[in-house]
Formats: sequence, structure tokens, C-alpha cells
Amino acid sequence: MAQSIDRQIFGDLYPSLRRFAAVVGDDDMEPDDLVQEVLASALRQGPLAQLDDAGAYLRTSIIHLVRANRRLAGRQRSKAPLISAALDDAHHDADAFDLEGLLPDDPVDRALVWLTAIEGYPGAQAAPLVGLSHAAARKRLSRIRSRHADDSGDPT
Amino acid sequence: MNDELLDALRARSERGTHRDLHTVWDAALNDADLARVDAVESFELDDATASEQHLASSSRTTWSLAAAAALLVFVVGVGFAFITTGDSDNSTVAAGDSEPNQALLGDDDPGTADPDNTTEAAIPPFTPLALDPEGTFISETVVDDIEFRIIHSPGAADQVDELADLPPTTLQCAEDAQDEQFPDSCLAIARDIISDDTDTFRFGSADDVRYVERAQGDVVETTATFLANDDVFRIVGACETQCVRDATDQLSRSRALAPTDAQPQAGEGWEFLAWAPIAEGDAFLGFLESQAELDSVVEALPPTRASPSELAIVAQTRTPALSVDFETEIVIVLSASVGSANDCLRPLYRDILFTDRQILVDSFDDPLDSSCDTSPRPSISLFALDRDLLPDDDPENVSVSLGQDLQQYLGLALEEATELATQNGLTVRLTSIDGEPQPVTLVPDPERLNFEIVDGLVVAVFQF
Repeated sequence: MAQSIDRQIFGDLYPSLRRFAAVVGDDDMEPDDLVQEVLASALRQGPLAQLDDAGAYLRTSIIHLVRANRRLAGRQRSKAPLISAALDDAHHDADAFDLEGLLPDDPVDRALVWLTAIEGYPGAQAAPLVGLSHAAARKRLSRIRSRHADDSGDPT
Repeated sequence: MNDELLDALRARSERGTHRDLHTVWDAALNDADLARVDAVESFELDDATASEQHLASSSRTTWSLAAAAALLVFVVGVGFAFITTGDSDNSTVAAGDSEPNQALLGDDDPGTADPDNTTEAAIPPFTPLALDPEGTFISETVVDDIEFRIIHSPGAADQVDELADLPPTTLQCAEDAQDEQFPDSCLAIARDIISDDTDTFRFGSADDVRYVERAQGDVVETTATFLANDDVFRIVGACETQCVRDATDQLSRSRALAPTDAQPQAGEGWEFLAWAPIAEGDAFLGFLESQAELDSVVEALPPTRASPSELAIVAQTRTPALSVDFETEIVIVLSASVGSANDCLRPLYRDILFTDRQILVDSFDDPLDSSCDTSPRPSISLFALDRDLLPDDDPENVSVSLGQDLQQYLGLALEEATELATQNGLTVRLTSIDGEPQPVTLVPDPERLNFEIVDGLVVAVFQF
């Protein structure tokens, strides 16, 4: 019974979760894999029906998972013995995450823009989904807007 | 919002190989069930532990609260847990003030507990999701092996008493898992690590090993360990146990942790991020302006010169996952080359003050532990600073001063400042007069103050 309810909950959420995972995840992360993984993690803890907001929970989990995957990838980078060398590496690595030259590099930034500009979340609701305060989310969005306005010459 | 960006996001949202809803659901369900089977088959929990864990899994509420409580206990002290976290905003979320994230923290409302105990039969999972948005735990830990490195230091049998009555959990140690770097270690595997700060593992037939390191991610490198027999497994000797513990707590990304008495964790516009010992002679001071830079510095921190001692171990317990909101913050790296590598672990800095020209860093006075020597050890510290409070937007134009009570010199006439410095046993030199840099030697001298003066008044001061 609980499982059928969960299945229904997930069915309602799946399309938006998949799009969210596709946006937030890096190129080497399959969206459906991300969704599957966070769903499995959630189910291990109990029925989705118990969650206050399964959609929010799973979205947040996706962001965590993307970041975790990035960290794992980061650990595999060769360790520079000197900080100066590490910084050189850092600049190199930063380029590696520059997706399509247009999208924000940070999954949180991408999630923020997606949630607010595409899915229509109010900032106050989107912020906690990505682990930020409302003020911090506003600031980030403002910086993203200004950065892209600069890039495109668009004053908005 | 920029239309190009939105179009790019829309296009991106359709990327990847599409599976249908049912495939994803069935696979996830399968994953979840397989994990349970794996856990059941892989461990020989003794009755008490199994019973406790069974009980703990009776509902998500119970388990989540237990996890949160364990985290709190860990934070306060015993564990070598390394909880990485996010920025100050994240700590706000971790406090559970937002409804969506309440799900991550567990539901405090007993009314929402599982009425049918439908999860009762499940093995309590390692918390698969971060308790803070930066990702404390990684979901793979539920299904993947977690590696523990047990350092074997035979001969010392003290400090076993504090092992007390910890519930044992089976820890399997791979017989052939010797390691070149830690020849006296063995690589242990566990799968049912719960989110507790301390656990006792049944290691072999009669040896109780306590680990004081939290499993982090898919690999945990090091634990502090003890045995309840003549051999003691531990990572360091003498006073180091407490020192390492404290140092690791310091290292454990203080934002998510309770501040210790010794090292303030945050102040007006700054937060302590991490600390690690470095070899004598190294010195570095600068700003990090991106997460990639921070990650790389943290990655580079393990002192490869160290022997298999607490130096290497502490460094390795640090997970390279410090995360900072670089939109609003910047990270300062401070290292000091003074002290002795044989001293207990302790950071050098304790406070940061902002002035209109400088960031002043007070020196650290108190040892972390009474059994430790009071002299500092060469170390490196990372602090996050609020960009809005930087004296200047461009870090290149900001000087950073190390020292104690340097603020008292600011605004004084040169003569007064010099007299005050002399009273404090310090010498003085001028590095800038009315904006004109003065020729100075670069040889550091911790007993010397460097003044910048404008119109005869001290406008900036730094030590060394």
C-alpha cells in the first residue's frame, strides 16, 4: 500500500525531477541515474509519503549528490605537493567545469536559476532547496543576472 | 534573466538518455532492497547491536533524530568526524528552519512517525543525505564498502578505559590489506556504519577497536583506535590522542560544529574553516577566490614529508570538501612557520578584526589541551571572510597582519605608537610614509611591528 502511494508520488514528481537533475548535474552524470540514486536513498529511509515535501527532499538530494560526485572526482585529481602548484591546478580544473561557456558552473547557481526562472519558485522557497538563505539566494541570482547582462550587453 | 541562459537551461533539461518513469522506479526500488540484503548478509551483528539498530530503524523519525543526535555528540568532541559543510547560509538551513530541508534533518513531529512500522525490518542505513547542504554524507555509503585504516601501535596499553561500554559492531579486516605508507595498518571494511561519532568494532576475536572517525563519503582513511588487550591500536602516542582529537575537531570545518572554548569559530565577518599542521619552514599567506582554488589547497595540505604519525593522519582525515560561497566570501590562507613539529597540535590564530585598511589576525594564546605544550606548531589556517567587509574589493590591495592587539596602534601618532610598542617589547619600522613604500628587509621578525603612516598617524600595522 505504502509502495503504491510512493509510486504515485514519484510518478507525479519524476518529470520535473529529471529535468532538474539534467540541469544541475554535470555532463558526465546521467539525469536518470541521479534521480534513481536519490530515490533509492530516500526509499531506504522509509516511504516517500512520510516526507513533508518529497519533491523538495529529492531536489535537495540531487544537488548534494552532484556535489558529492564532484568532490569524488576532485579527490582523484593528482595531489599537488605545494600550494602554489595546487593553485595552478585549480585554475585548470575550474575550466573543466565551464559547461557550455554559458551556464553557471556551480550546480547551486544552475538550480537557483532553474527553480526561479523556469519552474517559477519564489526565491524564498527556492533558497532552502539549494541550501541557502533567502538573502544569499537573492544575492547569487543578482550576480548571475548581472554577469549575464554584462556578457550579452543586456542591461537587464 | 538572460534569455540565452534560460534557453540553455531548457535545452540542458532534456539532455541524457531517457528512461521511463517505471524503469527508474523499479531500479531505485531494487537498489534500496539490494542494499538491505547486502547489509544483512555482510555483518554479524551481535544481538545487542542488532536489537538496537532494529529499534532505531523503527521509523524514519527515530532514525533521523538519532542521526542528528549522533552528529551533535560528534560535533562536541569525541569523534574524528569530518563533516564538511557549506557557508553560513548552510548552517542556517542545517538548523532546520526551512520546511523542505526539514525532510533532510528528520521530522520532529512524532505524529508523522510511521504508523505501520513499515521500515522496521530495514537495516538502519547510514544517513544517505547530507545534514547540511554541502553534503556531509554521501549516499553511496549505504551500499558501498567503507574503508577504515587501523594503525597498529603495539606496546602501549593505556587509555583503554575510556572505551567503556560502546556497542560492538563487526569490522572485517582484510588480511592482505597492508599498505606501504602505513605498514602497521590494516585496511578494514565495514558496511553498516551508522551515523554515530564513536563505535566499538569487534576486530578479530577478542579485540575491541574503537574508531573515532566518522565515515565520510566512500572512503575513510584513518581512525583513532584502541584495543582492549595489551596491544593498543591508536594513531599517536602520549598526549596526542586528545590533541589530535581537538585538532581534528578544528579541522572539521567548524561551521557545522560547535565552537570549542579554545578556538573561536567565527567572528564579525569571518569564519574559521580548517587548520592543519605543516612542516616547519613553510610559509604562505594569501587569498583564495574560488572553490576550485580552495579544493586544491585543501587537497595539497597533507604533509607528504610526515612520517606515519599524527601529521599525516590528521591531514588525511580532512576531507577536501570545504565549501564556501565565493559569491559573498573569500578565503584567506594563513600559515606560520614557527614552532616545533614535535609539539601538540594547535592553531596559531584565534581572531580576526577588520579595519579600514587591514585585516588583523590575533595570535592564539591557549593550547588546545592542558597536556599539550604551549608553544605553537607550524600550521596553516583557512578562514572565510565576508567580501563585504573586506577593506578593499581587490584582495591584492588588502594587507593581512598577524599579531596581537595590533588594533591599539591604529590612529596613534607615530611617537605614541612607537612608545607603546616599546613598552610591549617590540621594535618598530616604517614600511610606508604618506603612501610612499619604504625600503625594508623581507626577513621576518615576530618581535617587530611595521607601521604605515599618513600625516604622522599610524593607519596600518602588521607584525613580522
